[in-house]
Amino acid sequence: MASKTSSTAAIKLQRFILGLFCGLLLFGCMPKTKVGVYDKQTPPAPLPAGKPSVPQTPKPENAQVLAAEALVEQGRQFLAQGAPDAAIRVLERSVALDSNSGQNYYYLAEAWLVKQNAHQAREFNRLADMHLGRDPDWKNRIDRQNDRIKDLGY
Amino acid sequence: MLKKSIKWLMILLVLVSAAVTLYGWYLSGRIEKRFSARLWRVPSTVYSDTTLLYPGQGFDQKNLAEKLKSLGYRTVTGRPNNQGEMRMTKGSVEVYLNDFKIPSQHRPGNPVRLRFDGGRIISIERIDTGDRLPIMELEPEEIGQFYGPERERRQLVSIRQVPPKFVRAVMAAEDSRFYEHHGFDPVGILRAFYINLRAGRIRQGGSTITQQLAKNFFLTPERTIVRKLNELIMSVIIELKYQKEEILEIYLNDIYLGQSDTVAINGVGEACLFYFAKPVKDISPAEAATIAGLIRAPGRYSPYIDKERCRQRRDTVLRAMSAKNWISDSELQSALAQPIETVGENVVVKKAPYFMDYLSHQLESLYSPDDLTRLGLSIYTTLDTRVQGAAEQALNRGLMQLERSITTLKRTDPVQKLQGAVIVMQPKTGFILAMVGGRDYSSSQYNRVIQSRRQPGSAFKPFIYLAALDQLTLASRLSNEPRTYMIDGKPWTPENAARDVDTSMRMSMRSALVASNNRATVDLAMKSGLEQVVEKTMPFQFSTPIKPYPSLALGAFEVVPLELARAYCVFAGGGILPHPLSIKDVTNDHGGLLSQAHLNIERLISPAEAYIMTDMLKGVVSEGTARALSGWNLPGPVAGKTGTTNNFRDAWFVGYTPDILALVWVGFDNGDPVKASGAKAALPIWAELMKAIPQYISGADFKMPAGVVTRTVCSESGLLSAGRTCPVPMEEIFLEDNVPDQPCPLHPARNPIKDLIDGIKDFLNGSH
Repeated sequence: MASKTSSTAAIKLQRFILGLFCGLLLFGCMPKTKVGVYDKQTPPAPLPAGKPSVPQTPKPENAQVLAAEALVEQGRQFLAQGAPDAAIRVLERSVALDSNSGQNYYYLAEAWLVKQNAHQAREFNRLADMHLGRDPDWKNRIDRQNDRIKDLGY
Repeated sequence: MLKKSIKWLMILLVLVSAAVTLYGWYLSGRIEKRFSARLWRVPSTVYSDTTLLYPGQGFDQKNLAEKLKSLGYRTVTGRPNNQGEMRMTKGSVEVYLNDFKIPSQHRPGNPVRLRFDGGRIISIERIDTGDRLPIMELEPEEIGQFYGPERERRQLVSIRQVPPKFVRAVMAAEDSRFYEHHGFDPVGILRAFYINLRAGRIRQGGSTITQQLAKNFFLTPERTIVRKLNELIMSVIIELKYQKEEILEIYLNDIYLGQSDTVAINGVGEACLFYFAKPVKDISPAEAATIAGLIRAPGRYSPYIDKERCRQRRDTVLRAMSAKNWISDSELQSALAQPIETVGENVVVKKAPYFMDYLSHQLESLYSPDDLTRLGLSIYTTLDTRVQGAAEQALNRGLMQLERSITTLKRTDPVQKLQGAVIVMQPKTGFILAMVGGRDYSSSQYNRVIQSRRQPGSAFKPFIYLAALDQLTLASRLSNEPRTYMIDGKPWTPENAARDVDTSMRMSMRSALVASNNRATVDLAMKSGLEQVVEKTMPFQFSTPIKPYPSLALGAFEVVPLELARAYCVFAGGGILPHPLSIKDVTNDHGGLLSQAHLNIERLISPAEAYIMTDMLKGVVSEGTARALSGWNLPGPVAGKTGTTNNFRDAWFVGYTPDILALVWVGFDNGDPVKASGAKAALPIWAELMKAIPQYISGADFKMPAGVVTRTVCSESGLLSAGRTCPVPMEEIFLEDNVPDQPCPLHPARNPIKDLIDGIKDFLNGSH
């Protein structure tokens, strides 16, 4: 029983090694995929050596996003203070810096709602949905905002 | 007899009195009418947008210092303690920001420190509190004014804003007994007469401030008895009808105080800014005396013309103030010891003349050109003066370089010279950041960005490819074979550019656009259907007609450059067509908001379609007709398209990053050939412009949105290569709802056993 078990294990091991070998061979013989100029991910550039790191300084590619977030926060505060015009101005600048966040569009829709401009509110609500619609929490807020826009008579 | 004479004398007196009264009544009406109307034409002022600064942004120290200088900040050696002061140190700039108030925004001035490293801002902090700031804004910069025929600058001030010592300085210089007389001053006249008699020449005038006002507003400068009598009567009437403070306020806003090129500097408010870059409320006694001293002869005593003479005149005014005990001895000594420190003459010129013309055109429906020259409006725009300066410089240098390399392009007549145009926009908002309508505004005011109609050539091709995206894919095959089309009964055979070395008869849609292949693009337009192409370009709102001819594929009809730039914003901005925005707010002369414009966008294509177009246009830059751009080492990806028209009449480059889009056109107004392609003539101008504005190039890539998928396809058939023996499979991106569903028909299906045997053979033969 024991020898049968050991011989079965040996056969399994042999099959495994053979399978692995064949698999590697197959993989090695596969035609190479041409990497085009498009859609290739550039690896992040290494940090320059010998330079002191500066705390709290964002990387250039993140700097705009962080600045845009700061502007969204300013816009939110203006809205809370009942100043939709001021909110619109800073949120517009936020869009220029980062049009992918979606939050700037959401609050722009909110500001236009305050100004009773259903058309503009609707446009920005749509854009917010496009960027944030996959997040359940945001989707919920965007849908409720849309209901309020409809109530305004759009 | 005597009785009769007295009687006639009395009658004469009554008649004269009646005549004088009637005349006085008439003059009084004139004065009242004039003073109750708008007193001056105050030109409207145009401002740039505010400048946003944040840690991580590409903005070097020198660039910031120049920006602050153009905003009127003064360099000091110690730490800035007052608004408007700045100090440069190694690796940092300390600046005491000015207060600024624009519609919907008020920012009190604070002292801040910006640290720099490697051409970037690494931190911004408040000097007084030590707080780190995530973002800060610099106030708008004046771009120019809309002058009337008199070309006067005037910043109106209220008498409450003028420091008392400033008023005293003006009185000391012009009319020290202003508060004591009633329009004309016999004591002053006698004193002037005596002084002039002793000197043997005119050294002192006897006119009071009120008389000067009467003369400036109602009379001609000629020296006649009648005019002098009128001046006296009017002065008395003015004094009777108006308070001293009212008279002083009108006078201080009216007086001529200098000249900047062809523009007159009027009023103390404007003079304080022109000479000392300060608002009138912040002016020191010494500075006030300098300005007061100018009233007599602004040209003679201008600190910009003769500083020493100006200082002597200032000292005379200061001593006169001291003699009247209007300043103390210590104030006098302190003021006398101060040098004349002016801000430095900035010749008042329009910083963006073509943009200013565009603005007046934009404002036409709200304000007439005459209104713009007299209502003193403040017009806040989207322009960025740094981008504008960089665009002007890049265009000029680029054109000069081209003329040097192709000497036959040189023309002696300035009107006939090689021309160019640049428009820079933020693709996601439509904000116009810069507009250069020609190489020299003084020789040609024709704004080529908005007024010219030029063929775009290959710069139009992306719209042909976009129109086909719902039927074909980037991997679809197009024909590069020579083919003749009939247009209005005449044969037309599109040819590829001589530089096009790709002679393969079939090519992918992507390769065709990257190489700007003419035959393949016409083939694509024909496959899509010309009517369909025209219909799909309609939403881009080109104002020029686009006809369904095969040659439309090669951009053989005219477009307005601004409209072409706007259309490209759709690709750069994720499918959104923005309304080009140049004016944000307009306020009246009291700061009241008159009109506002906002971000106005319209979704034209899906973000996925926009991304696919951008991905192809990135290929144009990395390996296609715009590959020369790689030599410029710009950070991050760039997408763009060159354009060259028949016989090299027009050279174009439209390029963009996720943050900024710029269009460059080069050509002759009369259609002469520029003898160079878009890549040679327009692209270097674009590249130089982008190098000069690192603050707008973050280096971030375009973000792939939902709705785009990647598949492996055969590079020969463009169909799926999974499970096939395609020799060169490649990855390609597709719209999620337009993915090839057929396997490659050119290459047989893969046989795993055969693959294994071949693999072992290769292994044994050592081919690996």
